[in-house]
Amino acid sequence: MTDPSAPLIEIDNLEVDFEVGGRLFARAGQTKLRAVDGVSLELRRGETLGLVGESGCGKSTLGRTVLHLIKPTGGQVRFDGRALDDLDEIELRQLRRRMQIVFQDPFSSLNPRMSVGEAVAEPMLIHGLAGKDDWRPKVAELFDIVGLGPAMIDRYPHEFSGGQRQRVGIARALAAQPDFIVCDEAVSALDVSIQAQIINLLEELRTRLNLTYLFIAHDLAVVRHISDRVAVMYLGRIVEIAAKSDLFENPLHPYTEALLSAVPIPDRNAEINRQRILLPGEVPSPLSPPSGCALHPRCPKAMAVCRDLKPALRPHGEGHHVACHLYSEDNPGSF
Amino acid sequence: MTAAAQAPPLLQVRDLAVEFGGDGGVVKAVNGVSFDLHRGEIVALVGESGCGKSVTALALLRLVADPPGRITAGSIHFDGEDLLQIPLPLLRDIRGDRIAMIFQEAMNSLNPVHRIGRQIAEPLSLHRAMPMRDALAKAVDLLRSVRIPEALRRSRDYPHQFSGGMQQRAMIAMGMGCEPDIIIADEPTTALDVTIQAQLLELLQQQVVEKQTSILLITHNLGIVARYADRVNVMYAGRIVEQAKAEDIYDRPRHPYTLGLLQSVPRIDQAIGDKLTPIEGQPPDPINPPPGCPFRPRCRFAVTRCDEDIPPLRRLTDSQSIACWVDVDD
Ligand SMILES: Nc1ncnc2c1ncn2[C@@H]1O[C@H](COP(=O)(O)OP(=O)(O)OP(=O)(O)O)[C@@H](O)[C@H]1O
Ligand SMILES: Nc1ncnc2c1ncn2[C@@H]1O[C@H](COP(=O)(O)OP(=O)(O)OP(=O)(O)O)[C@@H](O)[C@H]1O
Ligand SMILES: [Mg+2]
Ligand SMILES: [Mg+2]
Repeated sequence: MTDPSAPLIEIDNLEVDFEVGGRLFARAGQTKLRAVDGVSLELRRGETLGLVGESGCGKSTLGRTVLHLIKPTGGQVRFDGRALDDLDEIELRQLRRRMQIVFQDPFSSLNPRMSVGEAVAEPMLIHGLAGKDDWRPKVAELFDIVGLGPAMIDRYPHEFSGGQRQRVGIARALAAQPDFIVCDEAVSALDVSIQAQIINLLEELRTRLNLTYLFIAHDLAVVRHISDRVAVMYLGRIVEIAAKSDLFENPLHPYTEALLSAVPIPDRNAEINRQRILLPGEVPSPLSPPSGCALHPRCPKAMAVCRDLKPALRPHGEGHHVACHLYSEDNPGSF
Repeated sequence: MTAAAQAPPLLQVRDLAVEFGGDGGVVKAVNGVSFDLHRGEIVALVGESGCGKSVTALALLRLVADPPGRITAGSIHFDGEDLLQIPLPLLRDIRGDRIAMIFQEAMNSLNPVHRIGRQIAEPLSLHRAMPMRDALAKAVDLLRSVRIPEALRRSRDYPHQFSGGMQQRAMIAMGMGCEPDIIIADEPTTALDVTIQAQLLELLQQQVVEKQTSILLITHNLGIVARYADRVNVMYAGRIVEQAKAEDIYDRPRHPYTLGLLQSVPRIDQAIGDKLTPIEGQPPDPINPPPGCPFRPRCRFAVTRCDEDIPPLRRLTDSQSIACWVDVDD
């Protein structure tokens, strides 16, 4: 069968464009929004890759495109060695069981007319993992592991709190017994205690079932806890990727540095004494991205070259990649 | 702060109770909640998922869906009037104008068929009698202030064209539009990365400082509470179990639940441990809560008394109260 050392997911130069702006701007001819701009990544079997970055930088779009819920404008995704755009509908549907997503917005991803129990049972029924008569105990078991009581099975999404709905979404993703889960802000609506339970659960399932996660989150403390490697995204591109400990202890990209310095710490004294690097200036727009390195208008370390030349993602140390001119060989200031 | 604390509170919530009736029984989602909000302060409401934070927030503006929801008891005094008693048309004038609400699930509270800019402009033209043209221009300014790039152009997008965090920022822009006296912000920054989160919270804080706005901040992020809140209410199973100044909560949590909450947070300034330490067990079934203290089954400090009597909120110091028969500090 498949080589266990081969990556489970291979993302190759992925690009995603959207149309936006309304008719007014269509005439001006600027309606193409590039949400994902040439992303290449690999996910090894059983690994958790954290994905972080500014709001609107393209994380959810990337996550959805990896599952082909959005068709890429360019580039390719291979799952377990097979290119997704070569598959027909039936093959894709079969593969879908193995790749699940916990959506960022749990409410709009649940059918309001279906009880949450039915919603969780649905993937089991579709993929023949349970029958019409015997899904209940299986759903109850899933509810139990995400911390929802069995009495909640017959209730409807609107009767739930935000965090309870998010746990329904997690139960639904687990129901299909997948190999790979995109967790898009999957624990962000949860209070810390339940968040800790769910994170422990995800880690336990990963070891037990050799699951692979793409873990999108803006909470860096959570990402640091759960990930093996972490990728940092800025305006549609990966700007840094490294093993977790390297990234948090030795961030190279100025954007990563700013990001790490902004994390709130739940301790009044530690919090008051911290230095933060605030990036000045406007958040760039994917409709008209800055020239060269997209960070250069806000970057405290920008050089002349940054305005003109887009830095490529290059290795800088073992398993550590960064897209920044500070680290290119021909830059005199590099070390 | 101290001056504000001596003046009568701007919002005074007393013994608020909300129930949901259903086939399975009655859910007591909010069960006798009392707290104050003074002019120019940020008060946090924290607690476990499902403990009743959003329902409390909705009840303040009588926005709980009825049926199945019912506000069964309590009073909410705002500027001399009880919001639970005043006629609905008067309340509608207050909503979005003097008290604004930033809802937890932005996508769900934005209208999918209207452009973002228009939705932000609407309350301005309604409450401020601003001509639509001006209101739309102001909406673009507001989008810019919440850091939406190319705000003019993006104001013509529909909600589904915004990312999760952009939708949330649009909600914040809408909430700030009329410069309300009170902003109720229900998890306003959960979908935001830390840098924009910091910028937006600073924007909200600026309103507090410059305009003496008051904010009820619902969040599960204890880092945010540490940085921005003046006072904190910790809620558990529909009740407030600890009330304190923000600094006291971190230095000296006194309720066992608060202590557990602080211990379950992953922290970026600590070593990477093997496992997080959540509070073991589950919150009580809201339909058939056990007798006695609702935290009893998960509490490692419990004494026999906890099985029988629900502890009332009691004062430990001038600024700290707990609903607990023991005090973890002893
Ligand atoms: N269906 C769509 N139509 C048009 N534009 C879209 C669509 N979906 C996303 N976008 C745009 O693509 C960009 C990236 O969005 P995406 O949702 O991937 O961001 P994100 O990194 O997940 O942000 P957040 O952290 O706020 O969730 C944004 O500018 C967004 O407005
Ligand atoms: N429309 C409804 N019908 C029935 N029960 C409801 C309804 N809305 C909320 N509830 C219940 O009321 C309780 C409190 O919900 P609430 O939304 O206030 O929680 P929360 O503290 O905001 O949680 P979260 O942090 O997850 O958002 C929950 O048990 C929830 O299931
Ligand atoms: Mg997203
Ligand atoms: Mg809520």
